Parts: sequence; C-alpha cells; structure tokens
Amino acid sequence: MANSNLPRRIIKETQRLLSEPAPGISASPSEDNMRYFNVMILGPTQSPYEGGVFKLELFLPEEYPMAAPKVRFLTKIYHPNIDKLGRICLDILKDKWSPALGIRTVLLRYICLSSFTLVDVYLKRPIHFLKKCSKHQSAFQYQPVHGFYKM
Amino acid sequence: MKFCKKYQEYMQGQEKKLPCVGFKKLKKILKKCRRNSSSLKPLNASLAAKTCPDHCPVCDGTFFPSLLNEMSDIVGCFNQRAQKLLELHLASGVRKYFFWIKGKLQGNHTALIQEGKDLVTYALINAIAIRKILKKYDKIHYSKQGQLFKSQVQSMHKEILQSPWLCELMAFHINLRETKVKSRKAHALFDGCSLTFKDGKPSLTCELFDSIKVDIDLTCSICLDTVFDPVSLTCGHIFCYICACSAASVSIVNGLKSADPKMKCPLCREGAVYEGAVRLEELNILLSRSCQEYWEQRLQTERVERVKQIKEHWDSQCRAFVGV
Repeated sequence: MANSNLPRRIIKETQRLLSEPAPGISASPSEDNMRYFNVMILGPTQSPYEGGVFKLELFLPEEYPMAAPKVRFLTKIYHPNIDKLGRICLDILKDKWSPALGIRTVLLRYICLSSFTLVDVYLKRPIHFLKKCSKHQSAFQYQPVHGFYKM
Repeated sequence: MKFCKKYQEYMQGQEKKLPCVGFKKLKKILKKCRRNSSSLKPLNASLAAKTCPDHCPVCDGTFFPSLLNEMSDIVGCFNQRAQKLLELHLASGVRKYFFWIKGKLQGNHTALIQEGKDLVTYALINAIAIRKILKKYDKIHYSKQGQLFKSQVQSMHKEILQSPWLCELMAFHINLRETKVKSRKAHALFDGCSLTFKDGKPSLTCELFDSIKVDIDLTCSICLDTVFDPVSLTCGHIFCYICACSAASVSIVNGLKSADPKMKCPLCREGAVYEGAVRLEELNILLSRSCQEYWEQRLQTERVERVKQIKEHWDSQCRAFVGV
C-alpha cells in the first residue's frame, strides 16, 4: 500500500508516538506500510505480567479514524480478555469506539486491562494463575511468523 | 468590593432589563436553611459537625428549581441576542439593507462591537455568579450537591459557557477589534479576547477581572488539526464540518440535520447532538485570517473531498431514479 495518500491524522499520531512515547509502550510504523505498527508493551508493575515484554501488531484500516484500529497480541499471554490467537475483547475497539480516540489511547487501555482485569482471578486462585503464567514465560521471546494484518 | 455588590451594580447598569441570577433571593434561602438547621439541637457531636444534611428539603425544593429557571432565562436571552447580533453582522448587502429598514441596525460599526463586548461580559459575569452561589451552597451543606447540579445543568445544555454563541461572539470581537471603542461603562470588567497558539495549537481565551478564564480549544479531535469550517454540536464540542459529518455518518450533501439522533458526540458520547449543531462562521473568518497558509492548503483538500461526496451522492440518486 502506498504511503503517499496517508491522512494527516495518521502522520500526526505517528510523529507524536515517536517523539513522546507513552510510558511502557514502544510503537513504530512498518517501513513498507505506514498503517501497520509494531508495538512492544512492558508488563505493568505490580501485576502478574511484571517483567514481561509483549509484542502486538496494530493496523489502521482505510476508514480510520471512523473505524477502530485492529490490534492483536503476538506474544502468547494468559488473560481472560485475550484468546489463543491474541485477539482482544475491548469495548473501545468494538461498539465504544469513537473517532476522538487514537492509537495512544488504545495502547494505554491495554496496559490498564492487563493491570486490573485480572485482580479477581489472581486473588481467588493465585497458585493456579501463576502456574499458567509461568507456562507462558518462554513466550516473552516469541517471534511472530507472519503478521496477519500486514499487506 | 464583594462580588455580589459588583454583580448587582453591573446588572443595574444595563440599559435593557436582562435576566440575571437572583443573588439576594438565593442567599435568603440559604440563610433560612442555616437558621432552621441551627435551631434543631443536635443530639451528638457527629451531627453537630454538619450544619445541614446532604439532601436538604428546605433548599432542594426552592433553591435548585429557582436557580435552574434563572439559568434557563439567562442562556435563552444570551443565545437570542447573540444570534440576532451575528445574523446582522454576517448578513449580505441586500439583507443588511433590509435589516436597516426594519430598524434592527442601530448605530454603526462601533455600536456592534460594543454590543458584542457587552454580551460576552454578560455571559461571563453570570457564569461567575452561578459558580459562586453553588460554592456557597456546598459550603453551607458540606455537600457536593452544587457540583452535581452543575453537571446536570451541563447535560441539559443550560450552562452559559457551553453556548456556541459565546465562542462566536469572542471571534466576532477579535474580528472587529481594529476599531478602537470607548466603553460606555465606568468600570472595565472585560479584558478582551485573544486567539493564542500554544505549540501550534490554537485556542480562544477570554478573561473577566481575574475571576474567570475561558479557554476554548480550537483543535478538532477527529483530524487533530485546527478546526476548518467549524461547527459546534449542542453539547458544546467543536469539530470541522466534514469531520462532524463523518462522525455522524452523513454526507456533506445531506448535512448534519439528517443525522440519526442515536449518533453520539465523539468526545462526550452524548446522543442527539448533531441536529441542533451551529456553524461558527465568525470563528471561520477569524481562523482563515490567522493561519492563511494552512487555510489555503486545507481548502484544496476539502474541495476534493466535497466534490467526491457530491459526485457519489448524485450517482446514487441517479441509480435510484433509474432503478438500477
């Protein structure tokens, strides 16, 4: 896909993400497709994911910002809101999406999601939960074979 | 000088009788409440700490309804007068002549500026008055009912600082400021408006005797650029016209009036905000003068988009007509 007719909004957001990165988040656009982002999220402190580095892929569809970005975890992660393929169940990516939201907001919401959603699960069955998490420890270095949004 | 006195002096100084906040009446209600609560001897120390309960029937039955009525009158009067003034200023030659014949155009250019200035002052001084009386309510009741009432009023669109006409009047004032105006008032309350650029982001600022500062951000949160052909939704948020149309899922041809009432504001997610949207023409003039290069560039891209949407609209109309 050509990057020449890229909307000003995407250019502005990309520039801001690179110049003022959000804490614990690193996002950089792909060289061949500026709508495709390689994202790295650090496991939030005081959460079961502390110390982990998670890779995500983020793709901005043609209709963006009227349509939500498509995001997927490439690193395997044990989380009630994330399935085996790394697809995330998050309100702002579905019916609660608004064009006033952006890449930064979405990624910051992921950090919140991984910090707070699991508190109940973790408190009820801590040993079971940590065992499950340790199974995925090796997955922190997981390399994606192919990004399914890449064009 | 206490604000209450300053406010009453200002309101009495107005040539026309305008709706205002009944400061004395509302203070009387609060005093009455204070007396009632102090006459009831508290049984224990914990009750003594509070002057009045969180939900006070004495106040809630009279204080909030009367304040709400006053706020409605103030906003209604302000919007009506501002709309009239701007309609007069933006009118084309023939319409302007027609207005003049009807006797709407009193005085000259200077009178127009002065009236605009007076209206902005009227809006700001009433906003302060409302804020002060609600603070007093919360102080007496040790509650947050005043703040809660304020947020309810905002959702009802009866908050004067939320009015799109305030933004328009501020832009109008800046647009016509070249002419030096001698104020009719003895004391200058109003410091004036200014268009400022912080890190390339524009905003309209206005101050009233160090008590209130209105700061209106002029960056569209959809395209992240300076608003172009700005439109204010009924919730008070400002967007570019094209961006607002896209957010409302309507074409430029059909306009925002045809938007589904279920469509929400991208910022506050409030429903049914597109139908009563206001085109901010004075602000458009101001911004086109302030950032000409950007305006020219944006004008070209917008033209392409508009032509594309109009073409699509007529294609679909033709297909529907032919029955394809």
